[in-house]
Amino acid sequence: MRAKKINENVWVVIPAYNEAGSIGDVLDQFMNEDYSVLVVDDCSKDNTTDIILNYPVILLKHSINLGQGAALQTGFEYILNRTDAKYIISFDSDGQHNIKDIPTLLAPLKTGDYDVTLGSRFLMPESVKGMPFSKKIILKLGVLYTLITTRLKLTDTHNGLRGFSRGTLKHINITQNRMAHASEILDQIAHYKLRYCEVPVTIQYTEYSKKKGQSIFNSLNILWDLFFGRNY
Amino acid sequence: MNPFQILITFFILILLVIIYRSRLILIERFIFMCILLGGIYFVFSPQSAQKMADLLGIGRGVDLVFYLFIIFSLFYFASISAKMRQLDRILTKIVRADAVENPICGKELPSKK
Repeated sequence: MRAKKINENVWVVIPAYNEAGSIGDVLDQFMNEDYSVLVVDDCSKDNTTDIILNYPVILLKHSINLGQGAALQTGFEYILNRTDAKYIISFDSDGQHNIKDIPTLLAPLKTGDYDVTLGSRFLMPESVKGMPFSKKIILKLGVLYTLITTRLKLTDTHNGLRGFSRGTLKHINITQNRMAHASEILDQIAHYKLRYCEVPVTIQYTEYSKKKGQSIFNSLNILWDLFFGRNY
Repeated sequence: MNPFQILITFFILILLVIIYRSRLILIERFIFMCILLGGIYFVFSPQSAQKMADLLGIGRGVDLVFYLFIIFSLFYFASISAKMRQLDRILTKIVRADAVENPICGKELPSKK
């Protein structure tokens, strides 16, 4: 399907759990692009794994389900220990991200002026258009929470599309196995005073991604993880 | 000796055996068994709980036992949570090491490593 050598400078990490409905479309996007792709299958119970194996990617498989944060960290550790990646992108598997945003994330990193780039849907008006109101409120509460706990002034704190330089990734250590890892990454950006910037990215709210997305109740779970994760 | 005292003592004795034969470390077993023996003592001699409560300025003996129960439960809950998180971390490490050690190549990927 592709003859040219895959670019090993840029690695895209895609954590996936029971995403048989979308992972194929997501990986299709990468077929004609020049990125190395690493998928971390978090012990999916559907045929996600079989679909992934039809693509020219590297697959890491958790033998039990640990959560998205854990899957990301597994991907990061593989990339740091086994590859020469210069830039690492985290990309969701539910089909809401667009591969065309990756160069936007890479550009600030390549100048050497930034360590981390964070995708923000709020910087791109079209991304927010189809967003359910309740979702908007939850995301803004996340922004407020981040401002209070880390002093980082961001517009979108729970976007799975991020770019890291290799050196930065050594500082990032996700211990929150489940969804609270998004806040944990921001905590560490603040703690290590990493140079970060937000870039506008698109989010596609398909019926599928809406169904798979985080509900209000899960935000409470995330808060619980954050509080009790810290105290012990 | 009323039936209630017999019933409670029976259950506490079962617990005692369970604790004694458990895999808890010695000091934990000792603390648990002291608590259980204390429980039997209070069941048979409610007056002594009352005396102790008076000493501490708590209204009734039952209240004293109840407060002790709450404090102990919270303490135990916290220690179990800590233990669970520790296990969680170990499990994550093992699963992660296994995943990183055994990468699977998808179709048509140029061989590299």
